[in-house]
Amino acid sequence: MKAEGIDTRSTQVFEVLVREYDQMLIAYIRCLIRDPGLVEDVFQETLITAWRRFEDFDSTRTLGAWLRGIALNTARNATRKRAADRHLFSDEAVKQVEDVLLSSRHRDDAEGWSERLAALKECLSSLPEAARELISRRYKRGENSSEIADALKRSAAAIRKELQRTRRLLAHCIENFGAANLGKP
Amino acid sequence: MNQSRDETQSSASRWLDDEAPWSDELDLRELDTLAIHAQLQHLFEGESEREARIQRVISANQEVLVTQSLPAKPGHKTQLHPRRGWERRWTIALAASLVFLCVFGLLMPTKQSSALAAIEKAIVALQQPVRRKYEVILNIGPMGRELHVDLFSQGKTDFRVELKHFPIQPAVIGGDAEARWAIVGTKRWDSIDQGSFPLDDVLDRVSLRFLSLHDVLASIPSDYEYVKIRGQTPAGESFVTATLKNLQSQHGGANDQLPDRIQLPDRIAVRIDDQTGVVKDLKFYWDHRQLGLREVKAQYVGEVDQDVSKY
Repeated sequence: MKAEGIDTRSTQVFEVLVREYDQMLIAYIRCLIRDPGLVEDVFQETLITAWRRFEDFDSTRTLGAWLRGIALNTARNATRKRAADRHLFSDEAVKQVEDVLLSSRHRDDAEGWSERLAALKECLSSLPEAARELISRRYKRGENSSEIADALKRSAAAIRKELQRTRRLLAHCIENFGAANLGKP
Repeated sequence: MNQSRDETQSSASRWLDDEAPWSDELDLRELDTLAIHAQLQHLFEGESEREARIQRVISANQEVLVTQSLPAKPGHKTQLHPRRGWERRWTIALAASLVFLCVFGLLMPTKQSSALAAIEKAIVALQQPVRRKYEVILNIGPMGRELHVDLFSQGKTDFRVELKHFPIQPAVIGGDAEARWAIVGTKRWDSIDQGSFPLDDVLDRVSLRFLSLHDVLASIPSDYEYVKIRGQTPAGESFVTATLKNLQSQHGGANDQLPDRIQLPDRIAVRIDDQTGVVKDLKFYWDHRQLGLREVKAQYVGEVDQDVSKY
């Protein structure tokens, strides 16, 4: 009976862990791996590995950084045979991913990630209509730049450039959330 | 030089937006919007997809809990994803269950202390930099005079309490007309599974301003068990904060379903439609340190009658 209680608590604790770090970890893994199915597998395995190894966790470190370390190793193992994604795991590349992912005024914890997403939402609503449509096509409908180009009768290169520009605008807006006003000169 | 940069950028965006193969020419520094790309993917994936992913991970972990007494084969890697290899996982789970039953008596003390140690460590870890908001929402009944409190956990209703026909005598125990805030409280909170409190008695027309609940709580007499604070944010948004004092001491007896870590909430907020006076939602907020590790949430249901529309 007691053991059952512990298992229930274990599950509850694990669930909190998953919910807390879901946003940050998924974003991190998506920076490392492009295949959505593999992203989910790595995410799952990362959290379960973390759960199994909680006793090894050095509580002087932040949990987010520890989880990212596990995610990186898990992703490396998962893509060992996949040349397409291997490049992202050089030390230089990983540092770059960490830099771009964490370069924000928001805190590096679960609530900080929620804040970033909330800021992103706000920033999206400030985008000009055309840019919002572009983002919606790319991320909501999952169209790639060639498909968007066909639909909008523009060149794929122009669409890619526009997407990149829009993402930069959003990044800038998130960094200066509250002060930036997108789409205005 | 510029042309070279354009080509690199084009290569970076082709990788991001056209799922093109990686090019060794690509300068990683050009992937400066990678984080935004990942966050946009997350933002647009939808709550149900996110929840499904979380549930898959939780299910996989439960399988791990079942199978953890099985010795791992060297070099063996279990695929945990529910969409793949589920037949094998069931076999493993079944075998693990049998092994577990056989060695139950021997393993239990070790397993128990190990699980407790892991939990304690997890709690400490989760308490570290995180200040997550948990929420319970009180459902205001059709007459606006009763509340249903739903505590949700793991996506299911864990516990529900109905507060009905519980006569209380609210009293203004603090307030300041100039500062536009007030505290209303009651000395009784006899039995939370039978009680109720009439919102319209507690809430009046006083226009209030937002203030720190912690500051307010400091001024509440210790014999008040239920306290409600109504206010208005600087933006003019109505809210109510309330505190169920000693809530933790109420359970454990008659109602052992009540989660064992519910404590004083940080904040309770009500959103009220200024035009119609209808209460849109009512939320409780805790942080980790106060709630422990339970996530609770619920949502407002039902209409509020005209008695309540006055506020």
